[in-house]
Order: sequence, then structure tokens, then C-alpha cells
Amino acid sequence: MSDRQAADQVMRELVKAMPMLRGWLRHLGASWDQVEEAVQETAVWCSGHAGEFTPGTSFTAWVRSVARFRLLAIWRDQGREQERRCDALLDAIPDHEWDQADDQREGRVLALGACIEHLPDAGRRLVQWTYREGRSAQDIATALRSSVGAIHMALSRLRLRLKDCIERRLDRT
Amino acid sequence: MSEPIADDEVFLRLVGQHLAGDLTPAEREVLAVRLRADPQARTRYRDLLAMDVLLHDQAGEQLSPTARIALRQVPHRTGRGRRRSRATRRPPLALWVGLAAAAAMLVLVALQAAPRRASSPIAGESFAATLSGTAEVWRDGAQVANEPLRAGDTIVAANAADVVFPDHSRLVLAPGSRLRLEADQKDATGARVHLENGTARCELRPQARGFRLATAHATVAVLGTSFTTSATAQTTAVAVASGRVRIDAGAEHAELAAGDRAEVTANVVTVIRATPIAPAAVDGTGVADFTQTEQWIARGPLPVEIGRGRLEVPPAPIPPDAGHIWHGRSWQWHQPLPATTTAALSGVLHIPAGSGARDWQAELFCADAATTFDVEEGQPATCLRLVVRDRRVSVQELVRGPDSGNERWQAESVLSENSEVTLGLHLEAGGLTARVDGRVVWQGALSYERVLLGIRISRRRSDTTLAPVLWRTVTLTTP
Repeated sequence: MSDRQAADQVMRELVKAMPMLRGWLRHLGASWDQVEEAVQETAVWCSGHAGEFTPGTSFTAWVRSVARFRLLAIWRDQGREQERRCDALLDAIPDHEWDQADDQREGRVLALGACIEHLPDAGRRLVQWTYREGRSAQDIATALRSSVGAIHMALSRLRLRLKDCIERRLDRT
Repeated sequence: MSEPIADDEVFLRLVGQHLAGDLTPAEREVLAVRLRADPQARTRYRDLLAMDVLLHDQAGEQLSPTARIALRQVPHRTGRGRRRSRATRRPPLALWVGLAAAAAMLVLVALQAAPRRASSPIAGESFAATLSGTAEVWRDGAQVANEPLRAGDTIVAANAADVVFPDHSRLVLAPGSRLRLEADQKDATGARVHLENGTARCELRPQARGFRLATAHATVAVLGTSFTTSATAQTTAVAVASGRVRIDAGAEHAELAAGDRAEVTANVVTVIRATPIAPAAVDGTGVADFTQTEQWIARGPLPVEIGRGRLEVPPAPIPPDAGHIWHGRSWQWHQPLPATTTAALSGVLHIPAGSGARDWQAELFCADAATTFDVEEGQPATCLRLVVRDRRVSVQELVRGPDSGNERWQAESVLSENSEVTLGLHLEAGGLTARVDGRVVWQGALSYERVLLGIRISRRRSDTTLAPVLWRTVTLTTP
């Protein structure tokens, strides 16, 4: 396999692994901006070092190790104390549990739209403010005269509710 | 439905805080302990992460039309505290590609038939993109109209024309530009196009990083960035505004960072770095090449013989030389190890005559996994290291803060005149043994719970040309 073919193959695998990788970086404590930066840096590195991936080994484990160093470098650039975030949660979830492939992602995307549509107004508002407008939990709590903890919990419940809704819709199809 | 788990509310609040970046270290530890102990909590946690990603990725851009309407119906209370929309905060990646028009192409363009208005939804084996604007589509030497685009088609923009991919990536062709569609993908990821002449502005979504745009001289692989390319009949020039790009020209390739420029002539890529960045010079044979006083070129990780996995190269950039400080880079095992594990790291250091012994330093280190690394020197702030410098080998324990440092020298000896020395660190049961040419020079207990094992090499600014210092082999054996 030529270098370019190897790079193409790695990039294809990377695109497939992207949802997992983004979730994993969030798990490590990265903000969304840091996730985007780390993913980009990971893509750059993998593209240039595709030959270093050993076929037959876990691609996702490889790409996670690359991404972790990219994230550490980003944190290092932004403030060293943040690097410690990574450590507490790094091994909290066994490696193999990250490797469960999502072969229904397109279906989930479609179902998500319908599920958001069926949320009560308050739920749609939380989605809007959090994911479209990037408002902080503190900001939302102030706007709703609620506590930050309540907003965090409400968002978690909302995510699970949407997940269940998506699963039900996928089951029906 | 998801099954309830014990302490559900606390768990959900902690995960919510974590995703918002609001966890304290103590709360993070509580969450980590819970996840380690409870498989059901882990499943729930991964579900929450997956939904977080899905909502983030899709809420603003790829929801179904009905969902978009639903979101727009959400009332805003006030403008207070509102931020720009996600779409505004995250514009698509953009690049401009300009090509000087070749005379033959201009003649060909002049012979084209009258332009048409095209808008072609694409499916099946066709090229998955939509063309709009004033443009012609040529296929097998004949102009086609109202046909889906196919790989192999050539688009000639009589006026401004857009090629839009399903992922909303977009190529805007300037009037007179010729673009050949070479390889199909279901989105811009992996798509191949060839700009034969003219100018194209490419607005690519972040996920379209496999997209490749070729010119007569080079292929530009989009890795997520903004940059400008221009070309004459002899040369293609690339200037990067932000992010990174990769250029392939024949057997040569280069990666450019923000501020870098490159010229491609006759398959030779000449890179002009924005700043005299001096990262480590380590090539595929483990050579730290100090012959270039201003620029080190990182060509990849050292060759290592390892139990499993790889030795990683942290991508820490090194700023311009300040004239007297040390610069360096470290390579470390890609994951922290428990200090109680058994692992061995060794390296053979080759020191050629005339290497300017006072101006370089090489070391093996065993760092606290929670350490920070100095950006300029690549040095772990909290570590125990075996150092070679100025024909001396020493064991030092470092505990450095942002403004102060503490080096405790544990042992020191003078090297023989041999040009090669073998350094080794052996980790076992929370203790560390340092060896030089097989001889134990230090033994002691570690106070770290988890460690990073790695090597580092650094140099001091000098006008003297230094001979290369080589790490011939680095061997890491892990459990």
C-alpha cells in the first residue's frame, strides 16, 4: 500500500471513528472548542503518519492515543493546570467499551430531529440555548431563576429522554 | 427505556457538570470512582456523551427541516447573555485557490457554448453534489444540460457558480474557471476535484478533511484550515492563514501551519516557516540533527522496540530562539503507567566527536503522570531523569513550579571517551533503577502514583555548528 493509499485509508477510518472520538475527548474534559482543535490536530497527525498504524490492531485505540496527546498539547498551551483533568477519568471506562460501533448514526440524526420536535417547550428551549446558542448553565439558570445544579440535571435527563426517543423510533423502523 | 440507577440524581448532575466543564477535581474523582465501579453507570454515561455529541453536531446544521422549524419556534426571553449562533461561531472552513489561466485553456473556454443555469440534485453513481449558478457541464466532449453531475464531468463557470456537497461544503467558482470532478464521495469527505484554471473558493465543513483539490503542480489536502493557493505555469504557492494543510507534489510532501508558506516547482516543495521554529530534529533513524541552528525538522517518532504500542511524539511547538535558553522536545510512552508496574526504558546515545558537548543534553525520564511539560524545553516539571550533558551523566529529581524550580542531584559520574553510552531506567514495584552501560548508578523509591516514561533531547542556542547527536535505539518494555 502506498503512503497516499495508507493516508486515505486512515482518513476514512478516522471519519468513521469521529463520533466516538469526539465523545471520548468530551469524556476527558475537553470543551467543544478544544474537541474541534484536537480532532483537527489528530487528523493532521494521522494523515502524515498513516504508515505508523499497524493493520490488525485497534484503529480506535490508536487514534485515541494520538488525540489524547493533541488534547494535552492544547491544554498545555492554554493553561497547564487543565492537563490534570485528563487523568482522573482517563481509565474510568475500559478501552473496549469505547469501541462499540454505531452503525445507525444517520438514522439517529433523522430521529433526533423528530424527537426534539416532540419535546415540551422547556426542553426545546434548553436544547436551543445549550447547543445552538452555547449559553452556559449559569446563564440559563439565571434566565430561568433556577439553580445551576438543576440545569445540569435537567440537561442530563433531556439527553437521556432524547436517546430513549431515538431508540424507540429506530426500533419501529 | 433507560433503567434507573442508584444515586441517579447525583450521577446525572455530575455528568451534566462534567459536560459543561464545571466539575471540581473532587467531583471529577467521585464521578471517576462511580464509573470504574458501576458498569450500568458507564453505559448511561456513554449514552449521555453520545447524545451530547449528536446534539452538538446536528442541532444547528443537520436536523430535519421540521426540527429546524421547531427550534426556531422556541421563544427567546431576552437578548441578555445570548451568544452568536453556533453556525456563526463556527464558520465553514474556507480556502481560496487561484490558478493563472493557461493560454490553451483560455482558447478552450472561448469555444464553449452559451452558459446555462444549472441546478442538479445528484444520486446513485453520479457525483454527489449540486451545481448552481451560470455554468456549463461538459461530458465526453459534449455539453450536457439538466443532467446530474458525474465523476469525469468538467464544469466551466461562465459566471459565478457553486458546487455544493450534501454536507454543505461548497466550492465557489469564479467566472472562467474550469473544474474537473474526479472522484465521487457521498459528501465532500474524500472527494477529488481538479482545478484546471481559474479561481475557486472552497468552503469546507470540518468533517470534509479528506477533500483534495489538485492543481497542475500539487495536491492540496484539506486538513481543516484557511489558506490561499496561487499558481503560475511553473509554480504553485500556498500561504496558510490558519490551521494546517498538507501538500503533496510527486514524492514530496509538506505540512504547513498557520503563517507558513510553500512553493512547489517541478515537484520540489520549498517551505518557508512563519517563524524560526526550532522543534526537535529527529528523523526516521533517530537522528537529532543539530546542524541547522535555527530549524529542526520533526520527521517522525524515533524507531523503538517496544513491548506493545508506540512511543508518542507530543506536538509541542518550540518558539523562536531567544538566544540563550534551551530548546528541546520529549517523546513519551503514550499512556501513563502505574508506578508499581514493571517497565524498562533504555536508549543508546551516540555522541560523535565535536558535538559541542556543553550545548546539548539528552535524557531518559520517569515523570509524574500529572506533570506539566515546558513548552520551550519539552521538559517534564516533575520527574526523575538520567541526564547526559557535557560528558557527564547525572540523576536528577525535578520539582518545578511556574516561577521556581528545584533540582536535586542524586548521582553524577563522568563518561568515558566512548562515543556511545547506554542509558536505562528500570521501573519495578514503585522503585526506579538508573543504569549507565549496565552499571547501576542510582536506585530509589518514587513518590509518583502513575508515571510517564520517555526521552528528551535539547540544545542551547549556539552559533557553533553542532554535530548530530544520535539516539541509536530506544527500547521500551511495558507489561
